[in-house]
Amino acid sequence: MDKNNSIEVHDLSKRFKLYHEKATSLKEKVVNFRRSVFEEFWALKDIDFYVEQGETVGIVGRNGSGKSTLLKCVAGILRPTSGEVLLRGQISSLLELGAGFQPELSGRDNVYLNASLLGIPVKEVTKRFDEIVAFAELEHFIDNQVKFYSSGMYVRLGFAVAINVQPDILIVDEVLAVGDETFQAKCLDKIREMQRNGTTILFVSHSPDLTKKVCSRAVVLQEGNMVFIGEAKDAIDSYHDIIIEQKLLDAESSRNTSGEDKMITIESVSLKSPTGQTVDRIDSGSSAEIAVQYGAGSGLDDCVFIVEIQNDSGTIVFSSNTDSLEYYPTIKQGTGVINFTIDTLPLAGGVYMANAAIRKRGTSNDYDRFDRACTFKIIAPGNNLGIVETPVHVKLESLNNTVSI
Amino acid sequence: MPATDMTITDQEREHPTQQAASEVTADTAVDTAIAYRSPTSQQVKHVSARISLRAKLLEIWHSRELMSFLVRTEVKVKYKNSILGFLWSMLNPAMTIAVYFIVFKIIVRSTVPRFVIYLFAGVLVWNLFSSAVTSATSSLVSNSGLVKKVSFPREVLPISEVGTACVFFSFQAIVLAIVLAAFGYAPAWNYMWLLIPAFLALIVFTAALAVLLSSINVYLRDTHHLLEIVLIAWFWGVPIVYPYSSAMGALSRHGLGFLYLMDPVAPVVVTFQRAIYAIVSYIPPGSTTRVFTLPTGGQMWFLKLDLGVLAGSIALFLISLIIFGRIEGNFAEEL
Repeated sequence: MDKNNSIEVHDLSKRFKLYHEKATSLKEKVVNFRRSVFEEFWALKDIDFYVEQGETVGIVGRNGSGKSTLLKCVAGILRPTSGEVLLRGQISSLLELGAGFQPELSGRDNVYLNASLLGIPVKEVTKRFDEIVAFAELEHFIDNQVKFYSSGMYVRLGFAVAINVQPDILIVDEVLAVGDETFQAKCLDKIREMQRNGTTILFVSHSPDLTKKVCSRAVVLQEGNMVFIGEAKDAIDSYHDIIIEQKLLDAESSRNTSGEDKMITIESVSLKSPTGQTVDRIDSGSSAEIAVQYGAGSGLDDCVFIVEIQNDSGTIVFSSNTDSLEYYPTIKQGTGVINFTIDTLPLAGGVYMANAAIRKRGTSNDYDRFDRACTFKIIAPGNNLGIVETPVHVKLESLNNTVSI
Repeated sequence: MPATDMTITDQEREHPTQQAASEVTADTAVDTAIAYRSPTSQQVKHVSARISLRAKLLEIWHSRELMSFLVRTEVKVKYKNSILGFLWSMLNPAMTIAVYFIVFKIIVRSTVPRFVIYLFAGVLVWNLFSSAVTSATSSLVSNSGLVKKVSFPREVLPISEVGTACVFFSFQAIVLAIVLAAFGYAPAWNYMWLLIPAFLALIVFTAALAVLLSSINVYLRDTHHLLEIVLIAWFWGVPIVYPYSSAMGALSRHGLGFLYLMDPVAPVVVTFQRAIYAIVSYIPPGSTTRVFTLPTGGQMWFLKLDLGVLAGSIALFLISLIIFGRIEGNFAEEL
């Protein structure tokens, strides 16, 4: 093992057996002998990477891509089918908070029990006990039985133990999604402090923004294969490509309008470049056109066309409709296209989806709605986080003359 | 990148200062980071498909503290919210002894003198063995939440069940001592030291079975039920209720006497009875033939027997660990 590395993963593969019906009793085992009905499923295939001491590496991928399996193999909860993981130093994992809690015991006893499950010596826990309790904000309740804790208190205590025992390696899986916002911010601060202290962190989050913010490098998994490893920003980029590819396939198959008798239906929604070509990626700040193709069964003059753009966390970042644009189309029977031309689309880089709807004027009833009809990627030049990408200038202004030293 | 702004030399790593470890502020971050990394925590951990027996034994040895916490938890939680609390751990053997006393002394009219003490010595050993093996067998399944989510040597779960049984064993042993003192019965003091090898043999054998059966039970949930049935028969295969000579005599006539002591629990039970009960033979009232309640061997005979069991149990324990290690890789999926 290289002495600069905290984690080394060598050719790691993990096979699961998917049983159609799991035989757990002797009778079933005998009856099903030699007919064991399972499929082999490779959750991870030849994963190979390393994490340097003090580095934070993210793991991104869609659901079912093997992120959690990889974390569990690294944490030592699952044994790999082949390959190996080498780890240097004390490991702590935030896989499931408070997993080892015994409800009948007091918070105090559980802190010790949980820490010893993580392999922390008692004297270390005693030294940090007050810190742990203060972090969990449970000073008044630490001697109460854990079964009387609220779910928030439970999770806070679990987090406080796992993170305050000063591990050399911390394995984090989605746990920042728990607790209220203040506690989440506190956890993030703590993770940053640990980064400064040289803790090695392996980090899984569904939020590309958070991954970009916290990690220096990231691994992209797709169906158990490592498809990319590199700078966090590039990894997220590659992850977005995977999503678009998948979404395009999904959109074609997900819309099933047969059997419905609608006066007007949305047939497709597409993004077009200023030159009129259908595209799936455009530069941030450039102009774009959203084309909504419809098919009308009869003439209508009370249609309001709505388009929306949502980001990957589901927030609507842009919405417009024909009424607000003071455009009142008269629809004739047959098919047609309504084009929304957006002069500048100053969105931050990432994956977006367009929704379209046709509403009956003056009501809240939709004639038809087509959500996530079109997925596209915005390519942003800057490294800014957030929702909006717009040119920024920065300069330093010295105020020495106004401050008396 | 966070790694670039800190350079830790090996020398600094090996000489952490206690003072720095006590404060955590952003300003002293680099110093404290060095302090936390004690040289022992820098050992490399391997996770791969197979684990060596040596690594396994080391892991278990390093989990001593965890086992003591698990035992304490188990003992604390077991009788929590019950009014009688720990008294229950005494009432169980008390009832067993009362029932056998009534059946065998009063109904069947057994002639064994000091029958309660004879029973108590055997039941003490048997309870440790059977309760530990029973609860250990289902320990992995009932702690599936832990096994699936937390990384620790899984053998710790069944082994700490043996520890818990030892705690209750010691409570019951105290009661036995009080009973002996109250009736003024003297144990065989010169045989008392044999309790140490006998007890060691018993816990190693129990731990071996605990580790083995707990892992099998993950795959075959029948194990737990099967065990309950086997234990019923096993109880009667050990001289707890009836005198040693009655079963030994019957088997010896067919040249099968050795089989009786092949059962690893029997030598432990007879050693306990020899030391605590101490009446090797007696002449029943109205009879002239001597009845042997215990083996007539001397101290060395008992020692050899117990060391034999201990040696066999150590071998079984190692085999159990190997089997456990082979199949534990899939525990998190199977549970």
